[in-house]
Amino acid sequence: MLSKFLNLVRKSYGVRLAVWYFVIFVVSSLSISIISYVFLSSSLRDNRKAIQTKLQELVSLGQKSGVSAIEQAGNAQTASRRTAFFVRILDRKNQLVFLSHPPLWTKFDVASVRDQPVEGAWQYLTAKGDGDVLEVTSAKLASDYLLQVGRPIEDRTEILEDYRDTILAVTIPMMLIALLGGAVFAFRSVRPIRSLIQTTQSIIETGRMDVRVPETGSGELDELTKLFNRMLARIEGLITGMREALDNVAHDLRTPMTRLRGLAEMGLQGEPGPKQYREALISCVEESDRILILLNSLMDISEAETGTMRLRLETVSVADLIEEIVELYQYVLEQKNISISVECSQTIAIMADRSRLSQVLANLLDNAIKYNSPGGHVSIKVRPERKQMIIVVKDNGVGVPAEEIPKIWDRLHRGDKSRSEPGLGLGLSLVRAIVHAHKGDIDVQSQTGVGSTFTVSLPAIFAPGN
Amino acid sequence: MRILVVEDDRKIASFVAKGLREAGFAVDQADNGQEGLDRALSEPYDAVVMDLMLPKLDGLSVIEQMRQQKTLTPVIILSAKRSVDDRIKGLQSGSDDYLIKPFSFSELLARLYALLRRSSQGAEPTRFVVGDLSMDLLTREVVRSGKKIELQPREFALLEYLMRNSGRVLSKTMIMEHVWGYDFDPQTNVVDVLVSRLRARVDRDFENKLIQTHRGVGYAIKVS
Repeated sequence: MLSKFLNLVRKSYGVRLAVWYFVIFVVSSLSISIISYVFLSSSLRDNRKAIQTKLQELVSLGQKSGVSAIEQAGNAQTASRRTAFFVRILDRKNQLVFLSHPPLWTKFDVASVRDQPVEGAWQYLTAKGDGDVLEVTSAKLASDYLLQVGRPIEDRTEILEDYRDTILAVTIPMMLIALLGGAVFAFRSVRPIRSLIQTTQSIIETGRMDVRVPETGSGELDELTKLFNRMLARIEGLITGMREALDNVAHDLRTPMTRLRGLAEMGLQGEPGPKQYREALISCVEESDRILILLNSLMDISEAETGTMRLRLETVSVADLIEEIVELYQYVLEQKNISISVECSQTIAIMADRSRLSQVLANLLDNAIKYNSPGGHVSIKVRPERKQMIIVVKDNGVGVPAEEIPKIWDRLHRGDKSRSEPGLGLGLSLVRAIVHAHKGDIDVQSQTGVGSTFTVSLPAIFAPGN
Repeated sequence: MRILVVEDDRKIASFVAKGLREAGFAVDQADNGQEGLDRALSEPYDAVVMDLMLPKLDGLSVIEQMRQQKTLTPVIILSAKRSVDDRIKGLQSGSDDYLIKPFSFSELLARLYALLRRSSQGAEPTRFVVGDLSMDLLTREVVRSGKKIELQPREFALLEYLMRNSGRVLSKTMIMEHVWGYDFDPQTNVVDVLVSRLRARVDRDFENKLIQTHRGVGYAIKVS
């Protein structure tokens, strides 16, 4: 039974909370009572000490100067009820020899000696009317006299007794209140935890990620509930994203894998000979390299689209980045006899993944060159616009037909014009995905025979001093 | 030169070992991390080619333990993980280079040579010669058959890279990384354009062509 209870306490947070509440409540109430009790009783002990001291004083006075000196000292006492003592001397036959007490103590029948006084013991003389008590102790004087000294303890004893009784009487109800309070308190405070547990359990059992913990009120536990729900939403998004990415990649790889297999099979079925085999092998290697690039790009696009792409954000100077990319294409531009102009303020900086942003610019420039004719022109302009940075890449090449414009962002889409050019049809999808991953946007305007203009807007930070 | 190949995939291990033997290396193989570690600690290898996902002990732990035991043999990691974070983790463990699967064997070979050159700590050559073509790194002068050739910086960088690895095939990826420092694939082949420019300057006026295209693999410079 006890071990069962202990087990429950160990396991259930709610029960533990209730027990703690109960223990703390009972212990603190009891200790307050006990402390008051101790203070009260110690003040009683002080009274006895004072009496004892007075007794010692008078006894030594009696030994030195005789009984008459005690009588003198007794008579000399002030009339104050607070400081005065009851002093009485009895002879061997218990006959009163001397009595001194403040005049106010007339309600005590102090003149008569009813009980046989015992030397060294504590005795109590009760007042006639009310319950006042005179506490008295005694000592033998050398000349066969008995000296008694005392002081009233008024109603302190009684209070003490009442107090003790009250404590004992309220203990049981107090414990009941503590138990009840603890239970209610624990029940209320672990309610969000219980719904958290239920939700988690149902996710584990059913595998469904769309359940949420009901959110109520405020406070730390509700904060936890809200965070837990947000975490669930994020996990759900990531899982859906990954699943989609996997589906897409598997789908998009089938075509090039078929091509690879076809190349190898053709090599085997064709004319046998080292030269033919060599050709087939070279084609296979080239195709597998293309598949690898495709796979990497597809992974990048999927990651960027689903928000799982890890961006290494740093402050990037846009002017420097464009300069580097233009330099990369310098020879290609020369070879195709295409001129380029760049307009960019030195001070524009953005938070971006340098390598990814390079990829974006390289792909846009690549397109602008690829679909341009010799003697053509490409211009790159960068300008700040409110809190954005706008990059405009403009060419005067072949342009995109109006009906194809919405499709150019699709994965693996290749327009009629682009089929003759090498490429995977992933460039613009990747560009858009990376721009979106940077919380930016991209737009295109194009006209057949006139050229295309790509406009990228990215959230910008501006270098100090601007 | 003795190389240890730690790789649990038998086909990969055997083509790497075969290729390295053909390139003139003595090759030992281990197919799990523990064996790889034992061998790396007990034998004096010149370099280690290490897979990451290995039975018994993973590649990163093997490298860490090697470094703890003060075995400074250069290590190239072969890994199927391509994220920047994984690459950084690999290099932090104490490896010297990181190659992503699938890789081209010629790239592995070129990287291995680069590592061995670095670890042999010989004096850096300041002059390369291939046939009648010579390059002086100090004066930045390129001369072929007594005729001075003017090169632009990227052209010079490519020629230097080819001559430093003369006789070995360098992939487009490696050239891209080495000459421009980019690791992404630009759609138009920037590398092809640069190579054809270099050819126009170095090979066009001469009978004997030095820069060779290996289709499907890359480019190399050698006397044919």
